[in-house]
Amino acid sequence: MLRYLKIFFVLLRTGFARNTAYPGTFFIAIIAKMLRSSLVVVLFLAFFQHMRTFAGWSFPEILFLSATYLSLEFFGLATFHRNLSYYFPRSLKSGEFDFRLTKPVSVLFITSFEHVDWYDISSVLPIVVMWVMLFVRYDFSIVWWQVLEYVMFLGIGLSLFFSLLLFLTSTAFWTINTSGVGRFFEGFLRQTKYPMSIFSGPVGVFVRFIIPLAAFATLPSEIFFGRASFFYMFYVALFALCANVAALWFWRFALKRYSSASS
Amino acid sequence: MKKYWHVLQLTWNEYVAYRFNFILEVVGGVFQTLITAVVWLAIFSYQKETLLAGYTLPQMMTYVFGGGVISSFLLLSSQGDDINDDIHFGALSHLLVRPLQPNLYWLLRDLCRKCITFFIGVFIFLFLFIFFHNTLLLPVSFSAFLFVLLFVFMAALIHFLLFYEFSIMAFWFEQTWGMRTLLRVIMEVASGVLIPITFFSSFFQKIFFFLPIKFFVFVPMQIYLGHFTWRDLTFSFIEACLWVLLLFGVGFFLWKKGLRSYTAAGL
Repeated sequence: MLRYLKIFFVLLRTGFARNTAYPGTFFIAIIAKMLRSSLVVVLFLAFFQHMRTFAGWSFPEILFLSATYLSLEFFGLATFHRNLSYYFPRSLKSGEFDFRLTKPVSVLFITSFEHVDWYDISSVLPIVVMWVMLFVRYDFSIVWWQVLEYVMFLGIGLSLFFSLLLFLTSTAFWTINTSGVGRFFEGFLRQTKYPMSIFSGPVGVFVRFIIPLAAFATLPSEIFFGRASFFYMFYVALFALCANVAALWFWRFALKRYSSASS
Repeated sequence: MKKYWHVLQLTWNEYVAYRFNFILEVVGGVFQTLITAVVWLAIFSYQKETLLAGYTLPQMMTYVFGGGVISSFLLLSSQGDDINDDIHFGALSHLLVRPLQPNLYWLLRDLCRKCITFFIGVFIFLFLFIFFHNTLLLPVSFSAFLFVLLFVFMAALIHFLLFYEFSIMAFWFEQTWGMRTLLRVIMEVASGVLIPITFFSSFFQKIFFFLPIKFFVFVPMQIYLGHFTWRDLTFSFIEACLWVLLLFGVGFFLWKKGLRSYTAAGL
Protein backbone atom coordinates (compact mmCIF):
# COMPACT_ATOMS: atom_id res chain seq x y z
CA MET A 1 0.00 0.00 0.00
CA LEU A 2 2.80 2.37 1.02
CA ARG A 3 4.67 1.45 -2.14
CA TYR A 4 1.67 2.40 -4.27
CA LEU A 5 1.30 5.66 -2.40
CA LYS A 6 4.95 6.43 -3.15
CA ILE A 7 4.42 5.59 -6.82
CA PHE A 8 1.34 7.81 -6.84
CA PHE A 9 3.40 10.75 -5.54
CA VAL A 10 5.99 10.11 -8.23
CA LEU A 11 3.21 10.12 -10.82
CA LEU A 12 1.95 13.38 -9.31
CA ARG A 13 5.39 14.92 -9.79
CA THR A 14 5.86 13.67 -13.34
CA GLY A 15 2.30 14.74 -14.18
CA PHE A 16 3.10 18.25 -12.98
CA ALA A 17 6.25 18.37 -15.09
CA ARG A 18 4.35 17.10 -18.13
CA ASN A 19 1.41 19.48 -17.76
CA THR A 20 3.51 22.56 -17.13
CA ALA A 21 5.83 21.85 -20.06
CA TYR A 22 3.63 24.27 -22.02
CA PRO A 23 3.00 26.99 -19.39
CA GLY A 24 0.82 29.14 -21.69
CA THR A 25 -1.64 26.41 -22.48
CA PHE A 26 -1.50 25.20 -18.87
CA PHE A 27 -2.71 28.51 -17.46
CA ILE A 28 -5.37 29.04 -20.13
CA ALA A 29 -6.66 25.49 -19.54
CA ILE A 30 -6.87 26.19 -15.80
CA ILE A 31 -8.92 29.32 -16.51
CA ALA A 32 -11.18 27.25 -18.79
CA LYS A 33 -11.66 24.58 -16.15
CA MET A 34 -12.39 27.13 -13.43
CA LEU A 35 -14.90 28.74 -15.77
CA ARG A 36 -16.54 25.36 -16.41
CA SER A 37 -17.01 24.78 -12.67
CA SER A 38 -18.41 28.28 -12.20
CA LEU A 39 -20.79 27.87 -15.12
CA VAL A 40 -22.62 25.05 -13.31
CA VAL A 41 -23.61 27.66 -10.74
CA VAL A 42 -24.42 30.21 -13.45
CA LEU A 43 -26.71 27.63 -15.06
CA PHE A 44 -28.66 27.11 -11.85
CA LEU A 45 -28.71 30.87 -11.21
CA ALA A 46 -30.40 31.21 -14.60
CA PHE A 47 -32.99 28.61 -13.60
CA PHE A 48 -33.63 30.35 -10.28
CA GLN A 49 -34.19 33.67 -12.04
CA HIS A 50 -37.51 32.20 -13.13
CA MET A 51 -38.47 29.81 -10.33
CA ARG A 52 -38.33 29.68 -6.53
CA THR A 53 -37.48 25.99 -6.19
CA PHE A 54 -35.90 23.50 -8.57
CA ALA A 55 -38.22 20.54 -8.33
CA GLY A 56 -38.42 20.89 -4.56
CA TRP A 57 -34.76 21.86 -4.06
CA SER A 58 -34.05 25.37 -2.75
CA PHE A 59 -31.16 27.44 -4.12
CA PRO A 60 -28.76 26.68 -1.21
CA GLU A 61 -29.58 22.97 -1.54
CA ILE A 62 -28.91 23.09 -5.28
CA LEU A 63 -25.62 24.87 -4.56
CA PHE A 64 -24.72 22.09 -2.15
CA LEU A 65 -25.61 19.49 -4.77
CA SER A 66 -23.49 21.36 -7.36
CA ALA A 67 -20.54 21.48 -4.95
CA THR A 68 -20.91 17.74 -4.35
CA TYR A 69 -21.12 17.02 -8.08
CA LEU A 70 -18.08 19.21 -8.83
CA SER A 71 -16.06 17.60 -6.01
CA LEU A 72 -16.80 14.11 -7.26
CA GLU A 73 -16.05 15.13 -10.83
CA PHE A 74 -12.81 16.74 -9.64
CA PHE A 75 -11.54 13.55 -7.96
CA GLY A 76 -12.44 11.46 -11.00
CA LEU A 77 -11.11 13.81 -13.65
CA ALA A 78 -7.85 14.55 -11.86
CA THR A 79 -7.03 10.86 -11.48
CA PHE A 80 -8.52 7.94 -13.43
CA HIS A 81 -11.10 9.38 -15.83
CA ARG A 82 -8.84 10.49 -18.68
CA ASN A 83 -6.41 7.63 -18.08
CA LEU A 84 -9.11 5.04 -18.62
CA SER A 85 -11.14 6.89 -21.23
CA TYR A 86 -8.47 8.25 -23.53
CA TYR A 87 -4.87 7.37 -22.62
CA PHE A 88 -5.45 3.65 -22.12
CA PRO A 89 -7.08 3.00 -25.55
CA ARG A 90 -4.40 5.19 -27.14
CA SER A 91 -1.65 3.14 -25.46
CA LEU A 92 -3.24 -0.06 -26.76
CA LYS A 93 -3.26 1.35 -30.27
CA SER A 94 0.32 2.56 -30.15
CA GLY A 95 1.65 -0.56 -28.42
CA GLU A 96 2.83 1.32 -25.31
CA PHE A 97 0.50 -0.77 -23.18
CA ASP A 98 2.75 -3.80 -23.68
CA PHE A 99 5.51 -2.02 -21.73
CA ARG A 100 3.17 -1.56 -18.77
CA LEU A 101 2.73 -5.31 -18.56
CA THR A 102 6.43 -5.70 -17.92
CA LYS A 103 6.49 -3.31 -14.94
CA PRO A 104 6.59 -4.76 -11.39
CA VAL A 105 3.38 -2.96 -10.45
CA SER A 106 -0.35 -3.59 -10.83
CA VAL A 107 -1.34 -3.01 -14.48
CA LEU A 108 -4.69 -1.60 -13.41
CA PHE A 109 -3.06 0.85 -11.01
CA ILE A 110 -0.60 2.19 -13.56
CA THR A 111 -3.29 2.31 -16.27
CA SER A 112 -5.67 4.24 -14.03
CA PHE A 113 -3.24 6.72 -12.50
CA GLU A 114 -0.34 7.13 -14.92
CA HIS A 115 -1.29 10.65 -15.97
CA VAL A 116 -2.38 12.62 -12.92
CA ASP A 117 -4.05 15.71 -14.33
CA TRP A 118 -2.71 18.95 -12.89
CA TYR A 119 -5.07 20.95 -15.08
CA ASP A 120 -7.86 19.69 -12.85
CA ILE A 121 -5.92 19.79 -9.59
CA SER A 122 -4.95 23.42 -10.20
CA SER A 123 -8.49 24.48 -11.03
CA VAL A 124 -9.96 23.36 -7.72
CA LEU A 125 -10.31 26.96 -6.47
CA PRO A 126 -13.95 27.59 -7.53
CA ILE A 127 -14.99 24.34 -5.80
CA VAL A 128 -13.21 25.35 -2.57
CA VAL A 129 -14.77 28.83 -2.78
CA MET A 130 -18.18 27.23 -3.26
CA TRP A 131 -17.80 25.03 -0.17
CA VAL A 132 -16.59 27.94 1.97
CA MET A 133 -19.40 30.19 0.70
CA LEU A 134 -21.99 27.51 1.35
CA PHE A 135 -21.11 27.11 5.01
CA VAL A 136 -20.43 30.78 5.67
CA ARG A 137 -23.52 32.11 3.95
CA TYR A 138 -26.12 29.45 4.62
CA ASP A 139 -27.04 28.07 7.98
CA PHE A 140 -27.00 24.31 7.39
CA SER A 141 -27.65 22.24 10.46
CA ILE A 142 -24.72 19.85 10.65
CA VAL A 143 -25.11 16.46 12.29
CA TRP A 144 -21.75 14.69 12.60
CA TRP A 145 -22.98 11.21 11.64
CA GLN A 146 -24.71 12.65 8.57
CA VAL A 147 -21.41 14.27 7.57
CA LEU A 148 -19.70 10.93 8.06
CA GLU A 149 -22.30 9.16 5.94
CA TYR A 150 -22.02 11.93 3.35
CA VAL A 151 -18.25 11.42 3.00
CA MET A 152 -18.67 7.66 2.93
CA PHE A 153 -21.28 7.80 0.16
CA LEU A 154 -19.22 10.30 -1.79
CA GLY A 155 -16.51 7.64 -1.73
CA ILE A 156 -19.03 4.99 -2.80
CA GLY A 157 -20.15 7.28 -5.65
CA LEU A 158 -16.54 7.68 -6.73
CA SER A 159 -15.93 3.94 -6.64
CA LEU A 160 -19.08 3.40 -8.73
CA PHE A 161 -17.83 6.03 -11.18
CA PHE A 162 -14.53 4.10 -11.43
CA SER A 163 -16.24 0.71 -11.81
CA LEU A 164 -18.62 1.79 -14.56
CA LEU A 165 -15.83 3.47 -16.47
CA LEU A 166 -13.49 0.48 -16.04
CA PHE A 167 -16.21 -1.85 -17.29
CA LEU A 168 -16.81 0.26 -20.39
CA THR A 169 -13.19 0.96 -21.15
CA SER A 170 -12.15 -2.72 -20.86
CA THR A 171 -13.91 -3.23 -24.19
CA ALA A 172 -10.91 -1.41 -25.71
CA PHE A 173 -9.06 -4.75 -25.65
CA TRP A 174 -11.36 -5.90 -28.46
CA THR A 175 -12.31 -2.68 -30.25
CA ILE A 176 -9.91 -0.45 -32.17
CA ASN A 177 -10.90 2.96 -30.97
CA THR A 178 -12.80 3.74 -27.77
CA SER A 179 -12.47 7.47 -27.30
CA GLY A 180 -16.25 7.46 -27.84
CA VAL A 181 -16.60 5.56 -24.56
CA GLY A 182 -15.11 8.54 -22.73
CA ARG A 183 -17.44 11.00 -24.42
CA PHE A 184 -20.39 8.66 -23.86
CA PHE A 185 -19.59 8.40 -20.17
CA GLU A 186 -19.04 12.15 -19.84
CA GLY A 187 -22.48 12.68 -21.38
CA PHE A 188 -23.95 10.56 -18.57
CA LEU A 189 -21.78 11.96 -15.79
CA ARG A 190 -22.59 15.60 -16.56
CA GLN A 191 -26.27 14.97 -16.01
CA THR A 192 -25.67 14.08 -12.38
CA LYS A 193 -25.46 17.79 -11.60
CA TYR A 194 -29.28 17.76 -11.60
CA PRO A 195 -31.08 16.31 -8.60
CA MET A 196 -32.02 12.84 -9.78
CA SER A 197 -35.12 12.96 -7.59
CA ILE A 198 -36.57 15.24 -10.28
CA PHE A 199 -37.13 12.22 -12.52
CA SER A 200 -40.15 10.01 -12.20
CA GLY A 201 -41.46 7.04 -14.18
CA PRO A 202 -39.07 4.89 -16.25
CA VAL A 203 -36.32 7.56 -16.31
CA GLY A 204 -36.51 7.79 -12.53
CA VAL A 205 -36.18 4.01 -12.19
CA PHE A 206 -33.24 4.03 -14.63
CA VAL A 207 -31.22 6.76 -12.87
CA ARG A 208 -31.97 5.50 -9.36
CA PHE A 209 -31.84 1.73 -9.77
CA ILE A 210 -30.67 0.38 -13.13
CA ILE A 211 -27.63 2.67 -13.51
CA PRO A 212 -27.79 4.57 -10.21
CA LEU A 213 -26.49 7.93 -11.38
CA ALA A 214 -28.21 9.29 -8.27
CA ALA A 215 -25.34 7.77 -6.26
CA PHE A 216 -22.88 10.34 -7.64
CA ALA A 217 -24.19 13.60 -6.20
CA THR A 218 -27.88 13.36 -5.35
CA LEU A 219 -27.67 10.60 -2.73
CA PRO A 220 -24.78 12.14 -0.72
CA SER A 221 -26.63 15.48 -0.77
CA GLU A 222 -29.89 13.83 0.30
CA ILE A 223 -27.98 12.12 3.12
CA PHE A 224 -26.59 15.47 4.26
CA PHE A 225 -30.08 16.97 4.31
CA GLY A 226 -31.47 13.91 6.10
CA ARG A 227 -33.75 12.94 3.21
CA ALA A 228 -32.22 9.66 2.08
CA SER A 229 -34.00 6.40 2.79
CA PHE A 230 -32.03 3.59 4.47
CA PHE A 231 -33.24 1.12 1.84
CA TYR A 232 -31.84 3.20 -1.01
CA MET A 233 -28.50 3.78 0.77
CA PHE A 234 -28.18 0.04 1.28
CA TYR A 235 -29.11 -0.63 -2.35
CA VAL A 236 -26.50 1.82 -3.69
CA ALA A 237 -23.76 0.47 -1.41
CA LEU A 238 -24.55 -3.09 -2.55
CA PHE A 239 -24.75 -2.04 -6.20
CA ALA A 240 -21.38 -0.24 -5.96
CA LEU A 241 -19.79 -3.32 -4.40
CA CYS A 242 -21.18 -5.64 -7.08
CA ALA A 243 -20.19 -3.18 -9.84
CA ASN A 244 -16.68 -3.05 -8.40
CA VAL A 245 -16.30 -6.83 -8.33
CA ALA A 246 -17.82 -7.20 -11.82
CA ALA A 247 -15.63 -4.46 -13.32
CA LEU A 248 -12.45 -5.94 -11.84
CA TRP A 249 -13.41 -9.39 -13.05
CA PHE A 250 -14.14 -8.07 -16.54
CA TRP A 251 -10.84 -6.16 -16.64
CA ARG A 252 -8.87 -9.32 -15.70
CA PHE A 253 -10.89 -11.38 -18.18
CA ALA A 254 -10.14 -8.89 -20.96
CA LEU A 255 -6.47 -8.59 -19.99
CA LYS A 256 -6.01 -12.37 -20.16
CA ARG A 257 -7.28 -12.36 -23.74
CA TYR A 258 -5.08 -9.45 -24.80
CA SER A 259 -2.61 -10.45 -27.48
CA SER A 260 -0.80 -7.16 -28.23
CA ALA A 261 -2.49 -4.86 -30.72
CA SER A 262 0.43 -3.32 -32.51
CA SER A 263 3.22 -5.86 -32.74
CA MET B 1 -12.44 19.93 -57.60
CA LYS B 2 -12.10 16.19 -58.15
CA LYS B 3 -9.23 15.89 -55.68
CA TYR B 4 -11.33 17.51 -52.95
CA TRP B 5 -14.12 15.08 -53.70
CA HIS B 6 -11.60 12.29 -53.10
CA VAL B 7 -10.58 13.96 -49.82
CA LEU B 8 -14.24 13.88 -48.79
CA GLN B 9 -14.59 10.23 -49.80
CA LEU B 10 -11.41 9.17 -48.00
CA THR B 11 -12.31 11.10 -44.87
CA TRP B 12 -15.77 9.56 -44.90
CA ASN B 13 -14.29 6.07 -45.21
CA GLU B 14 -11.77 6.79 -42.46
CA TYR B 15 -14.46 7.97 -40.03
CA VAL B 16 -16.97 5.28 -40.93
CA ALA B 17 -14.35 2.68 -39.96
CA TYR B 18 -14.78 3.96 -36.39
CA ARG B 19 -18.58 4.25 -36.61
CA PHE B 20 -19.21 2.57 -33.25
CA ASN B 21 -16.97 5.15 -31.65
CA PHE B 22 -19.01 7.94 -33.26
CA ILE B 23 -22.29 6.31 -32.23
CA LEU B 24 -21.13 6.29 -28.60
CA GLU B 25 -20.11 9.95 -28.81
CA VAL B 26 -23.48 10.91 -30.25
CA VAL B 27 -25.42 8.76 -27.76
CA GLY B 28 -23.69 10.61 -24.90
CA GLY B 29 -24.90 13.91 -26.42
CA VAL B 30 -28.40 12.55 -27.04
CA PHE B 31 -28.60 11.39 -23.43
CA GLN B 32 -27.72 14.92 -22.35
CA THR B 33 -30.56 16.27 -24.50
CA LEU B 34 -32.96 13.65 -23.18
CA ILE B 35 -32.14 14.49 -19.56
CA THR B 36 -32.47 18.23 -20.28
CA ALA B 37 -35.90 17.57 -21.82
CA VAL B 38 -37.01 15.51 -18.82
CA VAL B 39 -35.68 18.23 -16.49
CA TRP B 40 -37.88 20.77 -18.28
CA LEU B 41 -40.89 18.46 -18.14
CA ALA B 42 -40.38 18.15 -14.39
CA ILE B 43 -39.84 21.90 -13.93
CA PHE B 44 -43.05 22.74 -15.77
CA SER B 45 -45.02 20.19 -13.76
CA TYR B 46 -43.54 21.42 -10.43
CA GLN B 47 -44.05 25.10 -11.25
CA LYS B 48 -47.63 24.57 -12.40
CA GLU B 49 -47.10 27.48 -14.79
CA THR B 50 -47.77 27.38 -18.51
CA LEU B 51 -45.18 30.01 -19.39
CA LEU B 52 -41.54 30.22 -18.23
CA ALA B 53 -39.49 33.19 -19.50
CA GLY B 54 -41.76 33.34 -22.55
CA TYR B 55 -41.62 29.62 -23.34
CA THR B 56 -44.51 27.19 -23.20
CA LEU B 57 -43.72 23.53 -22.51
CA PRO B 58 -44.03 22.47 -26.20
CA GLN B 59 -41.80 25.39 -27.23
CA MET B 60 -39.19 24.47 -24.62
CA MET B 61 -39.24 20.79 -25.59
CA THR B 62 -38.91 21.72 -29.26
CA TYR B 63 -36.04 24.07 -28.36
CA VAL B 64 -34.22 21.36 -26.39
CA PHE B 65 -34.62 18.64 -29.04
CA GLY B 66 -33.87 21.04 -31.91
CA GLY B 67 -30.79 22.19 -30.02
CA GLY B 68 -29.81 18.54 -29.53
CA VAL B 69 -30.03 17.80 -33.25
CA ILE B 70 -28.01 20.92 -34.11
CA SER B 71 -25.41 20.14 -31.46
CA SER B 72 -24.94 16.62 -32.88
CA PHE B 73 -24.01 18.42 -36.11
CA LEU B 74 -21.88 21.19 -34.64
CA LEU B 75 -20.71 20.62 -31.12
CA LEU B 76 -19.42 17.06 -31.45
CA SER B 77 -16.81 17.97 -34.06
CA SER B 78 -13.14 17.36 -33.46
CA GLN B 79 -12.70 21.09 -32.76
CA GLY B 80 -9.36 21.82 -34.27
CA ASP B 81 -7.38 18.80 -33.07
CA ASP B 82 -6.36 17.81 -36.61
CA ILE B 83 -5.14 21.30 -37.49
CA ASN B 84 -3.19 21.69 -34.25
CA ASP B 85 -1.57 18.27 -34.63
CA ASP B 86 -0.73 18.76 -38.32
CA ILE B 87 1.14 21.95 -37.48
CA HIS B 88 2.62 20.72 -34.21
CA PHE B 89 3.89 17.37 -35.51
CA GLY B 90 4.89 18.65 -38.95
CA ALA B 91 2.27 16.85 -41.06
CA LEU B 92 1.53 20.26 -42.57
CA SER B 93 4.77 19.92 -44.56
CA HIS B 94 3.24 16.98 -46.44
CA LEU B 95 0.08 18.96 -47.11
CA LEU B 96 2.03 21.96 -48.39
CA VAL B 97 3.91 19.96 -51.02
CA ARG B 98 0.69 18.38 -52.34
CA PRO B 99 -1.56 20.07 -54.90
CA LEU B 100 -4.06 20.82 -52.14
CA GLN B 101 -5.10 23.88 -50.23
CA PRO B 102 -4.57 22.78 -46.58
CA ASN B 103 -7.30 25.07 -45.26
CA LEU B 104 -9.86 23.64 -47.65
CA TYR B 105 -8.63 20.15 -46.81
CA TRP B 106 -9.22 20.77 -43.09
CA LEU B 107 -12.60 22.38 -43.75
CA LEU B 108 -13.76 19.37 -45.78
CA ARG B 109 -12.59 16.94 -43.13
CA ASP B 110 -14.41 18.97 -40.50
CA LEU B 111 -17.64 19.08 -42.53
CA CYS B 112 -17.38 15.36 -43.16
CA ARG B 113 -17.16 14.63 -39.45
CA LYS B 114 -20.02 17.02 -38.75
CA CYS B 115 -22.17 15.20 -41.33
CA ILE B 116 -21.44 11.77 -39.85
CA THR B 117 -22.34 12.78 -36.30
CA PHE B 118 -25.38 14.64 -37.68
CA PHE B 119 -26.71 11.58 -39.54
CA ILE B 120 -26.21 9.37 -36.48
CA GLY B 121 -27.81 12.08 -34.30
CA VAL B 122 -30.87 12.47 -36.55
CA PHE B 123 -31.34 8.71 -36.66
CA ILE B 124 -31.29 8.42 -32.85
CA PHE B 125 -33.39 11.54 -32.35
CA LEU B 126 -36.07 10.15 -34.67
CA PHE B 127 -36.75 7.45 -32.06
CA LEU B 128 -37.05 10.08 -29.35
CA PHE B 129 -39.38 12.18 -31.51
CA ILE B 130 -41.78 9.23 -31.59
CA PHE B 131 -42.00 9.28 -27.77
CA PHE B 132 -42.24 13.05 -27.48
CA HIS B 133 -44.27 13.79 -30.63
CA ASN B 134 -47.19 15.17 -28.59
CA THR B 135 -45.08 17.97 -27.16
CA LEU B 136 -42.98 18.85 -30.21
CA LEU B 137 -43.82 21.66 -32.61
CA LEU B 138 -43.26 21.94 -36.35
CA PRO B 139 -41.43 25.01 -37.70
CA VAL B 140 -43.69 28.07 -37.94
CA SER B 141 -43.40 28.04 -41.73
CA PHE B 142 -41.53 26.29 -44.50
CA SER B 143 -39.48 29.44 -45.13
CA ALA B 144 -38.52 29.46 -41.42
CA PHE B 145 -37.27 25.90 -41.80
CA LEU B 146 -35.14 26.89 -44.80
CA PHE B 147 -33.73 29.83 -42.83
CA VAL B 148 -32.89 27.46 -39.98
CA LEU B 149 -30.89 25.32 -42.41
CA LEU B 150 -29.14 28.42 -43.77
CA PHE B 151 -28.25 29.65 -40.29
CA VAL B 152 -27.02 26.21 -39.22
CA PHE B 153 -24.76 26.13 -42.27
CA MET B 154 -23.41 29.58 -41.35
CA ALA B 155 -22.98 28.41 -37.77
CA ALA B 156 -20.94 25.46 -39.05
CA LEU B 157 -18.64 27.90 -40.86
CA ILE B 158 -18.34 30.13 -37.79
CA HIS B 159 -17.65 27.05 -35.65
CA PHE B 160 -14.92 25.84 -38.00
CA LEU B 161 -13.36 29.30 -38.33
CA LEU B 162 -13.31 29.91 -34.57
CA PHE B 163 -11.54 26.63 -33.88
CA TYR B 164 -9.34 27.10 -36.95
CA GLU B 165 -8.11 30.41 -35.59
CA PHE B 166 -7.31 28.96 -32.19
CA SER B 167 -5.69 25.89 -33.76
CA ILE B 168 -3.34 27.72 -36.12
CA MET B 169 -1.95 29.49 -33.09
CA ALA B 170 0.12 26.28 -33.06
CA PHE B 171 2.44 28.17 -35.44
CA TRP B 172 3.52 30.25 -32.44
CA PHE B 173 2.51 28.21 -29.37
CA GLU B 174 3.49 24.57 -28.98
CA GLN B 175 0.06 23.59 -27.72
CA THR B 176 -3.33 25.21 -28.34
CA TRP B 177 -5.34 22.73 -26.30
CA GLY B 178 -5.91 25.22 -23.46
CA MET B 179 -7.30 27.92 -25.74
CA ARG B 180 -9.61 25.47 -27.49
CA THR B 181 -10.84 24.14 -24.14
CA LEU B 182 -11.66 27.68 -23.09
CA LEU B 183 -13.62 28.20 -26.29
CA ARG B 184 -15.43 24.89 -25.84
CA VAL B 185 -16.45 25.77 -22.28
CA ILE B 186 -17.83 29.15 -23.35
CA MET B 187 -19.60 27.46 -26.25
CA GLU B 188 -21.40 24.99 -23.96
CA VAL B 189 -23.26 27.80 -22.26
CA ALA B 190 -23.26 30.72 -24.70
CA SER B 191 -24.63 28.66 -27.60
CA GLY B 192 -27.89 28.21 -25.69
CA VAL B 193 -27.80 24.44 -25.99
CA LEU B 194 -28.45 23.88 -22.28
CA ILE B 195 -31.01 26.65 -21.78
CA PRO B 196 -32.07 29.60 -23.95
CA ILE B 197 -29.80 32.63 -23.53
CA THR B 198 -32.79 34.73 -22.43
CA PHE B 199 -32.91 32.72 -19.18
CA PHE B 200 -29.63 34.24 -18.00
CA SER B 201 -29.32 37.52 -16.11
CA SER B 202 -29.00 40.67 -18.23
CA PHE B 203 -25.23 40.80 -17.55
CA PHE B 204 -24.63 37.36 -19.07
CA GLN B 205 -27.17 37.99 -21.83
CA LYS B 206 -25.21 41.06 -22.97
CA ILE B 207 -22.01 39.00 -23.18
CA PHE B 208 -23.63 36.01 -24.88
CA PHE B 209 -25.52 38.13 -27.43
CA PHE B 210 -22.29 39.85 -28.39
CA LEU B 211 -20.54 36.55 -29.18
CA PRO B 212 -21.04 34.70 -32.51
CA ILE B 213 -21.65 31.49 -30.53
CA LYS B 214 -25.35 32.38 -30.24
CA PHE B 215 -25.69 31.36 -33.92
CA PHE B 216 -24.96 27.74 -33.02
CA VAL B 217 -28.26 26.90 -31.33
CA PHE B 218 -30.09 29.93 -29.95
CA VAL B 219 -30.64 31.88 -33.19
CA PRO B 220 -31.68 28.89 -35.39
CA MET B 221 -34.14 27.74 -32.73
CA GLN B 222 -35.64 31.23 -32.33
CA ILE B 223 -36.27 31.25 -36.08
CA TYR B 224 -37.74 27.74 -35.91
CA LEU B 225 -40.13 28.72 -33.11
CA GLY B 226 -41.13 31.96 -34.81
CA HIS B 227 -39.70 34.18 -32.06
CA PHE B 228 -37.85 36.26 -34.63
CA THR B 229 -39.48 38.97 -36.74
CA TRP B 230 -38.29 39.59 -40.30
CA ARG B 231 -36.30 42.52 -38.93
CA ASP B 232 -34.52 40.31 -36.35
CA LEU B 233 -33.88 37.73 -39.02
CA THR B 234 -32.36 40.25 -41.44
CA PHE B 235 -30.14 41.75 -38.75
CA SER B 236 -29.05 38.30 -37.58
CA PHE B 237 -28.23 37.27 -41.13
CA ILE B 238 -26.14 40.40 -41.69
CA GLU B 239 -24.42 39.88 -38.34
CA ALA B 240 -23.66 36.23 -39.14
CA CYS B 241 -22.25 37.21 -42.55
CA LEU B 242 -20.09 39.88 -40.91
CA TRP B 243 -18.79 37.36 -38.36
CA VAL B 244 -17.94 34.88 -41.13
CA LEU B 245 -16.12 37.61 -43.07
CA LEU B 246 -14.31 38.88 -39.99
CA LEU B 247 -13.23 35.41 -38.89
CA PHE B 248 -12.23 34.53 -42.45
CA GLY B 249 -10.14 37.73 -42.67
CA VAL B 250 -8.44 37.12 -39.33
CA GLY B 251 -7.85 33.48 -40.27
CA PHE B 252 -6.33 34.46 -43.62
CA PHE B 253 -4.03 36.98 -41.94
CA LEU B 254 -2.92 34.50 -39.25
CA TRP B 255 -2.37 31.77 -41.84
CA LYS B 256 -0.11 34.00 -43.97
CA LYS B 257 1.81 35.17 -40.92
CA GLY B 258 2.03 31.66 -39.50
CA LEU B 259 3.30 30.08 -42.71
CA ARG B 260 6.18 32.56 -42.74
CA SER B 261 7.24 31.46 -39.26
CA TYR B 262 6.63 27.74 -39.89
CA THR B 263 9.67 25.49 -39.82
CA ALA B 264 9.72 21.73 -40.11
CA ALA B 265 12.49 19.26 -39.49
CA GLY B 266 13.07 15.77 -40.86
CA LEU B 267 11.67 16.22 -44.37
